[in-house]
Amino acid sequence: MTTSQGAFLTLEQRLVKPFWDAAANGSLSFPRCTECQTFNWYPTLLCHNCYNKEREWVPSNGKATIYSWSVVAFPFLPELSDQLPIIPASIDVMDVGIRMVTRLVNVAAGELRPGMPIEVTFREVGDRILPLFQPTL
Amino acid sequence: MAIPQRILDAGSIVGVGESRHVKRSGKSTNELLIEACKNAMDDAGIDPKEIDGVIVADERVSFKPHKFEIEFGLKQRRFHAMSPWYGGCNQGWSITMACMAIAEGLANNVICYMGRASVTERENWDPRKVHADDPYKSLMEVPFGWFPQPVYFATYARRHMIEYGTKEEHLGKIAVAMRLHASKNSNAVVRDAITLGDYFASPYVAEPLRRPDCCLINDGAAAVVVSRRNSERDFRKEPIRVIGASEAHEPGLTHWPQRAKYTETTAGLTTDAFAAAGIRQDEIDFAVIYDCFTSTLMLQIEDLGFCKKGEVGDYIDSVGVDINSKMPINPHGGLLAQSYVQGMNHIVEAVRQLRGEADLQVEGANLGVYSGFGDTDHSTLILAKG
Repeated sequence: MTTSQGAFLTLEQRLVKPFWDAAANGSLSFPRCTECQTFNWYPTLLCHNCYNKEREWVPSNGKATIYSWSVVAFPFLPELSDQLPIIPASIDVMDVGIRMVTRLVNVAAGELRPGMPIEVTFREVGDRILPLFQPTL
Repeated sequence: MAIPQRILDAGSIVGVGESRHVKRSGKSTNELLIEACKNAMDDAGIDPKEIDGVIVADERVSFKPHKFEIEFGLKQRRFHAMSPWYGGCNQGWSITMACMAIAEGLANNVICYMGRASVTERENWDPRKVHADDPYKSLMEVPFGWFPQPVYFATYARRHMIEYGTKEEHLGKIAVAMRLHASKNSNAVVRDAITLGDYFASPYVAEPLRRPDCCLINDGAAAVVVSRRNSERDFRKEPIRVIGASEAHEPGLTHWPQRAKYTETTAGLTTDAFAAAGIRQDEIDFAVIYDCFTSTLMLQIEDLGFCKKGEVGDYIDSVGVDINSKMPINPHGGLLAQSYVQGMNHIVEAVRQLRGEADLQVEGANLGVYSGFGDTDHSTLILAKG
């Protein structure tokens, strides 16, 4: 498959593209099998439950809880070095029952608690819009 | 799932060998492996041309079976295998796979090896590469800064601290033990011991992990020769064998953050190795445990059944893990301080301990366990003489 610009997309690039397109439009969306309603994450070609190929991308209300996190001051990724320290986190998005990774913002490291309620906030980072998460106000 | 005893009974470990373990050797992976393999075959007292099975314990290694055969002038190969996973599972797997080839009559003398010139050949071996190359990780995780390994394992460590009150000091005690052990090892990358004070003075790399919590990245190689047990011939050294083994695999590398509980490793699915060997955890004299991070070593102590889930902090405080403890862990210094050969060096150490020829010898070492963590893939071997 190619983009409208003609660049070749790998299978995985094609499968994740709707996630990033949705994020660019301010939506946190996840793929659900049209046959058995199972969410497949990360997106696979065939539903891991019933092997169906069709998906609908369901918008989440963006509410989640923190499962775990780290505070990183070391510049592992040069493109993020002007944003250090960052807080990469593993979170549970509640309405879709999906564990995803993200970064936490608008929170001090000392305030972080497991299970803390958080919500999505879309931020432009580099050349794309990322769904990041902040404490629910 | 336990490996059938019939397979394990077919093979004995008759030779072990390593390259020098240094930060930067200036040598390629292939050269380090040729050295390690020659040392292992010399240790066994076998001629390289008697090797008829070659197992590469990591598919990234460039020294593939046909290169081994060209190098050592073999005219014929009967068996070969290579494994796709990354981490410590491959190494345990390679030994049981060698036993299987022998059990099924496909080979008599199998060499298993792993090596990586992680510094000299940095472009090939950057540990971050296997993750950055994974499409889901590069597309869905790297953009969020969830990368590389210290970040993932920091979140596993934190979860254990959250749920069980484990402290950074417990991680530090493991780091101190590994550095103590390596300081007594004539073939180790890091030879200076540290104190707990030194540990706490190190800055965080990814909280709560500090540099001493993270394994080495260095040049090194190790090889093991597995031969038909009870064959008519004599080998140079007392044979060592695997008396129980188990392997478990959970869904894919790509899904690491989606593991339901970060406080549990796949090691927990391999405890049937003990039952298969007919021994209890408290009978083990020493353990060689895959220590990519102090926190992963810590979780395996629990998951292998050496203490109850959640109680490893108490275990570290009361039983301890160093050479003076009831069950020393990684007397060679492990990945943390001896060498990053992804656990093949651990199996070599286990063999030396059981033979009584280790640099830092555990007194009365008769039973050892290898715990080969690979996150979603795990191999556990119980080793004994004979």
